[in-house]
Amino acid sequence: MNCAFAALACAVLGSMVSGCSSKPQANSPAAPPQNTAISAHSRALPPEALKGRTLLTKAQLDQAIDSGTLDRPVNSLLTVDGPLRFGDFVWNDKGIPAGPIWVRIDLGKQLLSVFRGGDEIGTGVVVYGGDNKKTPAGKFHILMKDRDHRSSLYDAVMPYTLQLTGDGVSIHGSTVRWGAATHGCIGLPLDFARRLFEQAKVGDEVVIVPPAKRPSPTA
Amino acid sequence: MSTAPAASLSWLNNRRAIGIGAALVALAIAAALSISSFWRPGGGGGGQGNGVQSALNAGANGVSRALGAIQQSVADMLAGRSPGERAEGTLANLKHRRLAALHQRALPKVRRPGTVSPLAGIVGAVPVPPAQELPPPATPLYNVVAGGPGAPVAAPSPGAGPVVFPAIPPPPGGGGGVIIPPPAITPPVTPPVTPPIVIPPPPSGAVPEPSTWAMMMLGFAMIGRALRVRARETLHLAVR
Repeated sequence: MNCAFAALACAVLGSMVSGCSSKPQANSPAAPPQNTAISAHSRALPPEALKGRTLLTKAQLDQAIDSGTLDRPVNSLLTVDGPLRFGDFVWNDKGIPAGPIWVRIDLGKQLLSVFRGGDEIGTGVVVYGGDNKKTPAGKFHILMKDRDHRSSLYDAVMPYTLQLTGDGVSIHGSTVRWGAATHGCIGLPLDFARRLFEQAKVGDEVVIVPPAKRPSPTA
Repeated sequence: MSTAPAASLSWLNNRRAIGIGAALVALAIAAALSISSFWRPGGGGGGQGNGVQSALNAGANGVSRALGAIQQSVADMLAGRSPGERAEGTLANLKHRRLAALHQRALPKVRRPGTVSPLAGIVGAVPVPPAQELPPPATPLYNVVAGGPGAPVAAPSPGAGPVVFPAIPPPPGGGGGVIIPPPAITPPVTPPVTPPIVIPPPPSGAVPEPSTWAMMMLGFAMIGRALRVRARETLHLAVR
């Protein structure tokens, strides 16, 4: 009989504890059970948008912002299995609501990520400027779009150009292969560049993260 | 007599077993519900919190942060999809040679109309006299027939005596002289030259012929294809 009373007591306690979380569950019927510590925006994503996507917990986001990996809130990243090869990219914007985009380019990791409203919709491998023509780092805004641009400086075609600086540093389609470097531009696979060109607008923000400094050989 | 206590004992055992089972089930349910609440930072309960709930929410935040540290960080997630950091040295060299070779073309000859030939100094040193008109010939070259009795020409007569030159007029009886009239010079007869018959081309119509259209379109197609192939090759090689 004592055990039965203990069981009843546990049940009552459990119902009290679960009462504090009953309302959020009612508000988010589509949220996956394994990712409950997510922001309100992610909970609003339709179920088809959650496929192939990793939702960030608040702790992950806080840690990313504290460490400088991200400079603004991000709700989800695309799930990529294994390292991408040169010329590979992933694009998935299913169920992501329309809105302005921003681009994050990590030169050290040779990756470009396209975000729309806090959700990553595309990522791919890029090539960037060589040591004698370095790609500038910082925050830029897209100054000009040109689908069929031809560089007058280098006499080379640069399809799907998104110009970032006044002296011509741009994001454009290029041959992305191991060992390639550019004169300061960001080179993307051609199909990836086309998708980014269709999404980007003049004025959208581009954040270029510089590579980590290598230790000098003399030190 | 002995079966009644045994039956009551087994009933008691069943009651105890049921109680233990119910307690375990209740504990499991309570644990599941409480864990789910701990995984939800911020609670979201909104307004009906009491001391117990706030304590639970604070605990949930702490647990979430602790578990977040165990979870994969964003930097690790990005590093996992990266092909790796670019190596120094060989990878940072820009490629000029292939592109430079691609754009080497033979230039056409340069023709400047204002340039002076190096031979002009040599040729210009010798003065060239101006062309002069030739005087008209004093005598007509042809078509002059000298003849008639008024224009005698003495000719030696064979078998005569001493030749007397000239005797104008010859003395009478001085031997028979034969006056040979000079042969008449007639201009060479040239056959009449008939001008070549030039057939004027038929007037071209305002609309080209279908063959002309076809030739022009074929030419444009070939030019377009050449440009596309060249652009494609340039794009393939251009890494800027």
